[in-house]
Amino acid sequence: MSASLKEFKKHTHQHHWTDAHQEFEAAKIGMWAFIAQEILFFSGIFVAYAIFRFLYPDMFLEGASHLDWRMGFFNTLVLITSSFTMVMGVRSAQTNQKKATVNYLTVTFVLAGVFMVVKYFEYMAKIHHGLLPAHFFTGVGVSDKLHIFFGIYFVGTGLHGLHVLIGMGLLLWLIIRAKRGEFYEDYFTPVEMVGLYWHLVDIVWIFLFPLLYLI
Amino acid sequence: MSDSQKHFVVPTKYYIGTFVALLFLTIVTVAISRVDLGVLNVPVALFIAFVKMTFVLLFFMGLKWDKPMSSILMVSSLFCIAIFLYFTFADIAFRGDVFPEEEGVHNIKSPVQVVSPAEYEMMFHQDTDKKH
Amino acid sequence: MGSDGKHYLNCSSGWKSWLFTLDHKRIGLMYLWGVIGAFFFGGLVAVLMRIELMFPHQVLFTADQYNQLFTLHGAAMVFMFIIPSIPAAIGNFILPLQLGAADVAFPKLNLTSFYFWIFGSLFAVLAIFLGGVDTGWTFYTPYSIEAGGGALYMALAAFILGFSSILTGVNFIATVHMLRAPGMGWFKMPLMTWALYATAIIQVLATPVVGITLLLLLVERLLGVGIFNPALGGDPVLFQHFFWFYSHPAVYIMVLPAMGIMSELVTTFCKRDIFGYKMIAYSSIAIAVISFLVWGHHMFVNQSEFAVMIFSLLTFLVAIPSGIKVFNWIATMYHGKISFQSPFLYFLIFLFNFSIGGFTGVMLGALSLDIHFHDTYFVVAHFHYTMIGGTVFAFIGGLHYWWPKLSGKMYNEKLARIAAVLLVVGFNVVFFTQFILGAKGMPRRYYSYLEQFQPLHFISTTGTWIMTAAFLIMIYYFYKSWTVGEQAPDNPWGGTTLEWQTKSPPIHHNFEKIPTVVNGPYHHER
Repeated sequence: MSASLKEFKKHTHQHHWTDAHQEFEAAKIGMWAFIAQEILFFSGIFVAYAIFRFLYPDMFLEGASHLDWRMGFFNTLVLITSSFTMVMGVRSAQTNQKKATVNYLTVTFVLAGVFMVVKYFEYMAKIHHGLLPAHFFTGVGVSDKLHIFFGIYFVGTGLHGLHVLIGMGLLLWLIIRAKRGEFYEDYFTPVEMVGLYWHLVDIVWIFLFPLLYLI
Repeated sequence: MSDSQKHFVVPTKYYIGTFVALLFLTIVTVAISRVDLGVLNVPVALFIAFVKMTFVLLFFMGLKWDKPMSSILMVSSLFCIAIFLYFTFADIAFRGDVFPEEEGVHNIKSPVQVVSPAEYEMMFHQDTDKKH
Repeated sequence: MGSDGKHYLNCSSGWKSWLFTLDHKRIGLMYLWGVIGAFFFGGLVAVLMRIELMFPHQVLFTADQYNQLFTLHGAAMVFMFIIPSIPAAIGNFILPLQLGAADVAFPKLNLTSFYFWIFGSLFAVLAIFLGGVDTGWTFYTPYSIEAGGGALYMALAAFILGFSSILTGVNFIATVHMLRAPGMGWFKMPLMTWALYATAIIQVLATPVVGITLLLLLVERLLGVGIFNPALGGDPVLFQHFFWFYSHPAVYIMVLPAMGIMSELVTTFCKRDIFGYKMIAYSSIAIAVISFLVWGHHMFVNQSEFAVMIFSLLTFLVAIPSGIKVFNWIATMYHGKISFQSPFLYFLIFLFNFSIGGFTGVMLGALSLDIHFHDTYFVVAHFHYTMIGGTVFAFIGGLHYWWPKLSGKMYNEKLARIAAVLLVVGFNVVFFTQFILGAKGMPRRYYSYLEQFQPLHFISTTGTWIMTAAFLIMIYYFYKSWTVGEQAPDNPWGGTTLEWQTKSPPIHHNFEKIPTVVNGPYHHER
């Protein structure tokens, strides 16, 4: 792939680096440190889930029965596909394919949007049944601690959804920059970084889905 | 300045292979959850989720080709979660061992409108396609 | 300064060149003023608290106001001052210089973390005016869920300040990995950078857990989720697990960089290579790892018998790497050419006081003793011996040590020695009496107390005035130094690490030419 690089904006590395490669490697380590901390951020929700599930297993089964596994399954497929299109987008930037980069990033953005729309419908159904986090919980249940399940459900999926929205914002920023020809074989760092972030969002969902919907 | 140093471009087969594997494993997760394995349902689901996460980490996120420190950071964070879980469980799961009155939760102000299992069945009978 | 007299302080001027700077030295300096401000703010609150505690009856404040005071003191000191103190204020300045780099890995991220610090601190101050907080800095549930006033804002402040800490950690990890000078392998780095690196690892891995904890607390307050609130079926001890999972590693964020400074001071002022370089480096990493395993010792009285046994054993383990460092420093002093200049005085003060703090920590780790000491002044004295006796003294020592480098001026050595002596005397008067108070059963966070404790409380309070005098002297001579101080040479102490091979103050991009490293960091001529 030896397209002329004239359509791309040349990148100059910051003064304290010896070359752009060192800058890129540093960005990756920094991003992985950030991802490690994001994992630990979400960990609190999983620990709370584990503790309460251990204490009240029947209540969790009851709570899960209110979730539609088909919508969760569909959303999982959507997110996995978006991860694939994201990494293909990074690869396109790396191989100087400007149009492909824009297209892959756009599809990722759209898929993220689809995820949020499905989430919206799921939340609406919960609200309709009064299955909201505690104060607002007006629903019916066998277990008198059912509100705890929904508290964990809403905080977990809500925080995840917030990260999806942030990701969509980042993708939009990338699409604009990609259209301007800023990403090519010598500089695609932002695409790589957002890609890593996006895969993290996918990983969190990979765990949320079975734990909340399936078991 | 070696700006023109080429980054390693991952062959597409890794990406496509991982994508297919993830789709397949998702279907497996759902299928297995329909089968009642008793207490094994949770560990099996978690195990499959771990395998999926490993695929994403190694291939989509590039840990297979990256510097070791990135993997060390990732593994450390998982190790921290394991510690967090294990020791918190060491507390919560063993309460009441010496002093039985320390066990359990009493007299809570629940917002749930509690119904009996029979009434519950009647209200939500359309959800009984769930195995449990 | 550079050949044209320009250095990082005067190479550009105007408030915009400071507020939008990407220079790690300027950011470090802004952090320095910020955390010193936070320290005096928290310190003032402490002085007021101790005045109230001189007598069992009311002196200046009501009981509710007293509760707000100790909460504010704890929150300001922990979140606004001590966590960022050495890493962000001194570390930001010194890390690239010690590595032979022109800046940190991510200068814009550095500025961002500074702004998070400002923003978080403003929220903390806002919390005072929006009803005040009286939950204690630990925000234990269920009271923190129901407490009125500014608890929401204080929790939010801590969350934002945590972000500042995380971003600093991310920056330092990348900097140490990628920006070492040519020839500087991992085992040729100064031990200060090893310490900052281990601290950065803890910052990145532990802080997000307090982030989610505070977020869950906020959600619990606003929506009533029910995981921490016993009235709704939740578990208040679960909150404590969540909170201390971060807050224990946090104390190592406080102390590890302090130990790094100790290694620098002992080598420079004894003119010797460090004894046991690798052991000190590895022990920093060991402390970082083991620190994650011991949080339950803050809650010995609330857990299952099985859990407390595990935590007690691991707590004994975590003292070992700290002990290794202390022995190595002492061995470094042996046969050294010791000069008792003011920075070294702080090294000696640290050695003595931190050891007391560490030892009493092991005492508290013993289950049978902790039953009696928990929630008494013994605990208060222990952590002040480690945090003031350890971190604050190291911070001040480091400040004196690197002052000529960052300001280009010398300070009045005689006044510095007087201040150091006053400080250590005052500090021990305040807190040694508190060990005795605690052993006799005086509970912590109590506004009023039994008549029999009054004499010791009174003595403890007088110590705070001695400490205040010391700090006033310090402010005076540092101010004089900054404004009309004598010009500092590039290497006033004879240090061998890379920051001393460049100008005082350094030029904007630190080194005229990035040095190539051949020897180890503490290569002193014998």
